[in-house]
Amino acid sequence: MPIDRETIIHLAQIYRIAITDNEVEEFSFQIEDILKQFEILQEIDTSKIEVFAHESIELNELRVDNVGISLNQDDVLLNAPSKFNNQIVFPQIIEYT
Amino acid sequence: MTNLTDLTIHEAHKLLKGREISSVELTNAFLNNIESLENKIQAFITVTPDLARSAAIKADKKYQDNSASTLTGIPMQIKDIISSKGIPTTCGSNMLKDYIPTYDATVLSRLYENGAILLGKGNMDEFAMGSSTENSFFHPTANPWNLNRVPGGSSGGGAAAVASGESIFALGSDTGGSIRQPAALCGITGLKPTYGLVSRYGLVAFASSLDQIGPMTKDVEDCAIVLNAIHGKDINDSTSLNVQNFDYTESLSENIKGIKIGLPIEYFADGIQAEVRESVMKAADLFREAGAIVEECSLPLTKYALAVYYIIAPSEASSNLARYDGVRYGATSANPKNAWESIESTRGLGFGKEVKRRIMLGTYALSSGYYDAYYVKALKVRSLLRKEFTNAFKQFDAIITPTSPTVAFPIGTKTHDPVSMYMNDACTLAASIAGIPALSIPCGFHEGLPIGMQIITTYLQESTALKLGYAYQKMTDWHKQRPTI
Repeated sequence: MPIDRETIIHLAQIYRIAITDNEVEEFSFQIEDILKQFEILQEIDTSKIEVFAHESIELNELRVDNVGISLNQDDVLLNAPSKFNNQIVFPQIIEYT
Repeated sequence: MTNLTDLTIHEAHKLLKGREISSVELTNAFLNNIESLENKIQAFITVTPDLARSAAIKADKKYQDNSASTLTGIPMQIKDIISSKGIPTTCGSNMLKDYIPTYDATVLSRLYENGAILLGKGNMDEFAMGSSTENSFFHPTANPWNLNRVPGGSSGGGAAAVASGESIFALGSDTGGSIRQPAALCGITGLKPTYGLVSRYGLVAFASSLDQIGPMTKDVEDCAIVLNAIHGKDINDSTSLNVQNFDYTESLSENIKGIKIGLPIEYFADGIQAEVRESVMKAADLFREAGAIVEECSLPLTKYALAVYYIIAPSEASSNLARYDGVRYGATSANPKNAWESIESTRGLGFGKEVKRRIMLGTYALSSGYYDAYYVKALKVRSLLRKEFTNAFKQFDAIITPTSPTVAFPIGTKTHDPVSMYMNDACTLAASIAGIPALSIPCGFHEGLPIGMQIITTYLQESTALKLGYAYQKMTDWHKQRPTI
């Protein structure tokens, strides 16, 4: 599967990550190289195989929904890059029309 | 008296209990070693000397009033992907270089409750993605056996700290070999437990169905001591297993008569350095002499593990790392034009190359049109790999392989070739994919560099791996070798 520059740019756009022109160049041939290693999986017929990860994930055990102590406001805001009036500041997401 | 920084946990505990040394003396010895060696080794991202000294005073009081446990007063390093309240937890990334957690990971709480002393946080490949610790945003770590060689990764800081006497033990995390491979390359003991045996609460997520925390120690006995403290059900991690607390030190015995060990031919094929192969074969002979039954076997699906892992892990990583948006914590971009630009440039500046590469790979494998061909296919082969191990363990109690195909390689030789770097994990990936325990212990040297042997056992049979490792360390002294730095 050839990976061209456009594919890398498209992947970066759908993930919402900025990558440089050099990275686009580098990743396109490296990812193509890595994907070649994956072709080996086509040797195995998996048409009748069930998907399974771990017992502990499959069981999805839930805890009792008890009321507990949550983080206080200072702790929640401690690492926020930008804050004002005990709230997190971030550029506007929804645009008014 | 032995150099304090050469002591194991069990040796130090004996001296602390007998009041022959104090925890303050022991802690200071390690802090002094850190001060004199860190410019060469760079095993830490953050060192916490004040915290360590005050904890050591408290530990000495516990010995005075006879309320000490085996880990009381024992200095440790914790990988910088494990959340530590009030202490930076960077994941080796520019993205989190100023991040200070507001809570402790369950494993750290449990070690604090046992009286262990935090010396600082261990260097690592960014977000645990790497096999050499060269992907750390801060600095690479050197292998204490040869400062021009890598210590392995991603828990390279932990392995180098234990090998160099900068810490008695460390906690690492292992997603595809990140405890075992650096343990092998630095000549120490490292265990990846069964998936779910140790809580992941507070472990910053890389690939959630594979990540597992485990001990990195000087010997197998120490490994059992640390595992005792950190394993068990945690209400804050729904994937942690509801198992009875177990004393792993009780399984340590030199009597391994009748234990059935398999040597899978696929792990001794081309691509494995001849000296590595020979050392593991010699170890197998020793097990045989000690009464174990050692036979060749075959795990033909092993060759698919690399592909399965490098589809599943980047897919999960691309999902997990989407949380870094520059809003609530972590790095953020300056003066963005709008919200989307803010998120994009935050990630562009915050993540290093290997992380971006894996995000691209994971996004590709999960994208429309490729999801079934890559991600679902890998999950199905994962099921087959698990089944292959289940069948093998009907015949054998343990499987022995090399931990790493080669000894430590020179710094800078593989950073530009991701496929060649990924091959370093060839021997450790299958156990991660299957979620079963695997222990790495030193079993020889080549050109002054340590060789590691991996002991894989079935689901929750850590005790068998530890027993075999313990018996081996009673018959050999590879684990007692210390580097001259």
